[in-house]
Amino acid sequence: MKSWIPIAAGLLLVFTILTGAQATENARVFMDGTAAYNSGDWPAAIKAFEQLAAKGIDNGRLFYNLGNAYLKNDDLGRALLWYERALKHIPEDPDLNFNYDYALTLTKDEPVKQASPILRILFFWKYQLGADTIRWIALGLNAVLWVSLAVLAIRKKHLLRPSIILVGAATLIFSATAAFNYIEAVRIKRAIILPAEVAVRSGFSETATQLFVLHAGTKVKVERQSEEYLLIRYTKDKIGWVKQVDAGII
Amino acid sequence: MIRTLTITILMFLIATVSAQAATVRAVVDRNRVMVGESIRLQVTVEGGEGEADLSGLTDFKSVSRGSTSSFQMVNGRTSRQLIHEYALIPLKAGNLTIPAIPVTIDGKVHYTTPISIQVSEEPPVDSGQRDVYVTASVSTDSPWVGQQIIYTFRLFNAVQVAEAKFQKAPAFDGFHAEEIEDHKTYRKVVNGREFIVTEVIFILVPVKTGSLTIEPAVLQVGLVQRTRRPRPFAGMDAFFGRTEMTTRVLQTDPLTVNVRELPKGPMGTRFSGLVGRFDISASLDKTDLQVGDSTTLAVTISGRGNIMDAMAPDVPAPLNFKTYADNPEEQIQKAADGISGSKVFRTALVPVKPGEYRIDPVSLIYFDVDQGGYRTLSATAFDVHVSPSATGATDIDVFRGAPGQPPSLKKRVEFTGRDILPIKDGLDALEKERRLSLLAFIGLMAVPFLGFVLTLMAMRLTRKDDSPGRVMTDRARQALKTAAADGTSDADFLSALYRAMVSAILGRQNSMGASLTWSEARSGLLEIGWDTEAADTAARLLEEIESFNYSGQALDADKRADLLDRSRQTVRRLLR
Repeated sequence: MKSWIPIAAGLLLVFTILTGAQATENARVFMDGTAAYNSGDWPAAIKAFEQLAAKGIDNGRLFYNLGNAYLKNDDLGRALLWYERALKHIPEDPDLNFNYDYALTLTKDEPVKQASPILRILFFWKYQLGADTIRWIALGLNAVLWVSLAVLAIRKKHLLRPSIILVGAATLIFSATAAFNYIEAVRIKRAIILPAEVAVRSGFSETATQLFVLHAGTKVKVERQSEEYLLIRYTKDKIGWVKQVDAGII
Repeated sequence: MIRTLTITILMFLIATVSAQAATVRAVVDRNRVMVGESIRLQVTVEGGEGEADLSGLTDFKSVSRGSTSSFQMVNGRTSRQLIHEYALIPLKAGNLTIPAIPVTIDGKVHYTTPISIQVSEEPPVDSGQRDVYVTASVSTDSPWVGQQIIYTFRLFNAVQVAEAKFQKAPAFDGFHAEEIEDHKTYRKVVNGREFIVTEVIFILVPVKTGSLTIEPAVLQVGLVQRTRRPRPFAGMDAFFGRTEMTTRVLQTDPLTVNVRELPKGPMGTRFSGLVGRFDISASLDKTDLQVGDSTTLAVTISGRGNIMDAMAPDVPAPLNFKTYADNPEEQIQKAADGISGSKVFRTALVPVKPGEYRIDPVSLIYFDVDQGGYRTLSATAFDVHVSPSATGATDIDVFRGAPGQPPSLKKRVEFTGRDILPIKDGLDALEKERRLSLLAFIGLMAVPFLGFVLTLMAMRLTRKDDSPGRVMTDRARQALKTAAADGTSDADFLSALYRAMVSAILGRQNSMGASLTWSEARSGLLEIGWDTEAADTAARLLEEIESFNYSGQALDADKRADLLDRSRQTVRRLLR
């Protein structure tokens, strides 16, 4: 009657062993990558870190290491791609910001400002705080708001009302910003030019007219995606097609 | 009526004016002038509108003085006059002609009559015959390259000058020029005639060698003079003092300056770049030091010339001294005799080892324009005694400048090399970072709201009903319980039954109260829909309880049970 208990325990044990083995393997690959990096073997380090990223390890520190390894290997495009990916996870990491700024100095194309200065002033919190921070602030303010409303309903403390209005306004602002960030993350895709030089063409064929040239590390907006090509926008007036392999989507 | 008349007159005037043939004419206020004097030219257009084209006036410079227009009515005929006025300044001497000036009126070109003008040369500047003139001179016409010279522009005027402005400022190609802002004005007698002289001074430093030409400066002045034009009642001018403004253009002669190249400097020396006349001095604030102490060597270079270009001299500090140069302090004056001043270079000297040291004299090599050669100047040498530090420190560093001076040794930190920061070798780089999904975010946002809703619901459920009906119902139930309790006295029993009945009836009516008469109870019960018989029965029961209560009659057990039973049934029916 109780025969399922040993079976479940056995399955749990097998799962634990397998998971542990997997973790040990990942740790070994990571340590190999670190050792290769420290000994100056950048391609080996890239291989190890890429192997881990391919397994679905979604970690800003790992992406930062990949950015470093690519930068040391003189692959500016991929270095900036991984730094951009790392920034999504750990936007306030000082090491990441230092290396990212340094890598930006090596790019050839003039960087395009992603938002107008007026927007950056008006919605300063969006640009000063990371998306995660905004989410947690919105959640915290939301909790404070509803708890305050509950206290108001129970205790009828009318003195609370001005504070609740302020908290309500802040909650609205941060919740709307968090929602916008979610939509932006899904709807607006950006990419980094990977090779040293890429011709942006009027159509998706090698014979299409070359419209302009972009260089490694330049950040562009992805407007559309076909099977092999991406329609990218560099500035308001510069738009064209590049091969998917020539631009890494962040 | 008046309006109609006005319109008619205006239409008549317009028709009359337009019907006239257009005419143009040109007149001048005089036809004999000297070079630089101005002539007033009036181009009058009658019977139309048009601009005069003065592009054909090659021998004159023309300046527009504006336009005026007027209506005239002579013998019943009206005409419109448009007068364009110009000042013409002859550019050369001789018999010049103001050619026929074309004026286009309604698409047709009309011409004025040519006018002949006799332009004579001006008398010499030192003759005293000119009313106003300008001169330019340089302090020396063969300076060395880098040597400052003084360019003086002078305006002489024996008549009143209302305005003066450079039409063409002096161009000093090949020179570094600085204007002295204070303009000097004085009186001078030239050939028996008194002139007011205004001086504008520029300090020039030639920056290249060879023959350099300073182009003429051209000054436009407005002269206030008595009017020359004939006018009605001219005799009254003396009384009213009528004057007019005439424009004159004055020009200096070009000047040529031969700039000499500096000879080669003495071999193995460093030329300071200073050209002029200079001096050097030095001072040391302490000569008896401990290791790590700071002493300030102040080197002062002063003199006349390009002092602002003076560079920090080499400080021959002993090897065991660290040196920290401070920002130089300069005092420079620009005056009519050129640029002069001083520049002080302070250097903090810090000995790092004890001993006896000699600080050799600081030297300065400059080009002396008076001697036409290089001069080497030396400041004083200093002997310094350095004793061991009281703290015994051997590794000394200094971050402060000379005593009493602001700390100016700080520099902006620049990158001396570029590299990236190292990788992160912690195994936390392998942990999956859970990011809050949109669904989870919405869920977490909803949790406090749901909590709020649940709180409200709980409050509603637990809230006491304090309506009169509810209170009276509770009171009726409680009174029945009291009446049914064992050991209750007859008085308490009857009071409780009465209270239960009254409370139940009033509770159904949703009102408060403590007593009811028979008729009030009956009508109340009828109001809530009871039939007459039931209402009568209940009212009689209430009356019966009340009568037992007030009569003080003893109740046996059966009667108590009967009253209780009937009251209970009535109350229950009421509370149902």
